Amino acid sequence: MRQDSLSNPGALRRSWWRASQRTRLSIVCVGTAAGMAVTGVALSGIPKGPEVAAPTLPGTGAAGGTIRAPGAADRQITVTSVPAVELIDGTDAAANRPLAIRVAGIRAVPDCWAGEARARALNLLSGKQVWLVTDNIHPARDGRVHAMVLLSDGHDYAYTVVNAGAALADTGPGAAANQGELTAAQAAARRTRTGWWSSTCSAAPAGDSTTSTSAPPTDQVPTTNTPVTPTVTGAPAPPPAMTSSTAPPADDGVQHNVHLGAPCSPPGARGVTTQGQDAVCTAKGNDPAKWKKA
Amino acid sequence: MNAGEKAEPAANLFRRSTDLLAPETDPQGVHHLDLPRLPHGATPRGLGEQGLVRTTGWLQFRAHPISSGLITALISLLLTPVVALALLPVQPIVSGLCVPLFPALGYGCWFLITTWLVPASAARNTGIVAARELKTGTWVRVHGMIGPIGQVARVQPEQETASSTKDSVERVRVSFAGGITTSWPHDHLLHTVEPQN
Repeated sequence: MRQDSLSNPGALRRSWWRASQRTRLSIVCVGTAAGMAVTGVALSGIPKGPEVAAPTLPGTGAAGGTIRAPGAADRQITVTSVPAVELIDGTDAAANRPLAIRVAGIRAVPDCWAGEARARALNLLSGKQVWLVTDNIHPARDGRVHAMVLLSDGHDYAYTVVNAGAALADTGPGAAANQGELTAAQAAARRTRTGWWSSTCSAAPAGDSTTSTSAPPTDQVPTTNTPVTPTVTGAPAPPPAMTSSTAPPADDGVQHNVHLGAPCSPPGARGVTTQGQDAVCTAKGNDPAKWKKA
Repeated sequence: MNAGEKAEPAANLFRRSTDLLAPETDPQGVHHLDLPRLPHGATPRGLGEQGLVRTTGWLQFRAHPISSGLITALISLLLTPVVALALLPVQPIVSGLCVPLFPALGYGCWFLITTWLVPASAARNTGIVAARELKTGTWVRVHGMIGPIGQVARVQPEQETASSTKDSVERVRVSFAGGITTSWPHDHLLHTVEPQN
């Protein structure tokens, strides 16, 4: 401390000593508030919790996707059976009643790989507890509740299976809240040839419900069933693009998640929209067939 | 707040203290060159080389000084929720420990500083007195309502002529124990204090 620090102080200390008590209090209050604000801003960058690794499906190594905590309104479901990758049967833990669920935002892979996809879905879900994220618990026309499903660790089931190549993203408008994420996951799975995208059946001409083409892959997978004219190129470029025609009709013969007004095939086919409305594939004159209300 | 606050004369906050002079040589060797003493004979904590004593505390409610340590603890307590809430998702235990630890840490830092690093005395303002009424042995604030204090050793009247008005202004020359001397107008108001330690 300098010898003259008390008898001959600097301007700042002098002004502090000579300020009125009210001024000093104001300065300290403002300083404290500013300190709290700066501290809050500085600490707001701390991550809110450890990231949970996404579950991986056997043989895929697929991981990722956002994690969300179940909300208070979300229902906990104990999975009892998995008829298909996009269909889950379970028991509502709160109401203790059976519930049939159709996972929003995904479609089944073609039949040739459906068994494998189901096995992987079973591995993820069988006997597990999942969270049903939906505002509407009432079943749609197909008798199933259309909802987002969260795995017990908070990962989106739809994202997980699409990312693992065990399901296809439903790119129809309003199919899911995280549609962009699902489409990106599908593109990644396709790029890395994961799951169905690596199978031989994805490159081979499919049966009645699928039509493989040699067209370059595209990430957009329309949900409608417009027949695709195969593009003749010099060499096939596997894996083929998943087109609407690769979307298999569900086991009940009804095409699901169709969109009214969208092209469809074959004329006369029955479908159910994402809202659960019945639809019929109707052709008028020379116009291509489109989905109309049943 | 303080009874003396209203009577505090308007001061130029940035005016440099040219009125405090270095210790002058006293040919008679009077007692104002001795160091100031507390009533029980000990030298006060925070005593500087020229006899002024550094003090802690800047807030006084009526006759009761508010400890700066308490204010430090209070400010630390206000900061605690900000830190605790930010840490809660990642370190819940540390977050909970913040609540008692922060104020204690703030008070501890204040105590360490005012006791060891930059020693300072606690002092209580007791009233206001004009410079001409100062008496030997009185403790006063040298710069304002807070800040360093000194023990008056000698008060001498002196005359000064104001250049602008040609009027004569009465001033007093005050010497403090420890040697430092200053000159104030005779009606300059000073806060008398009671050093605590």
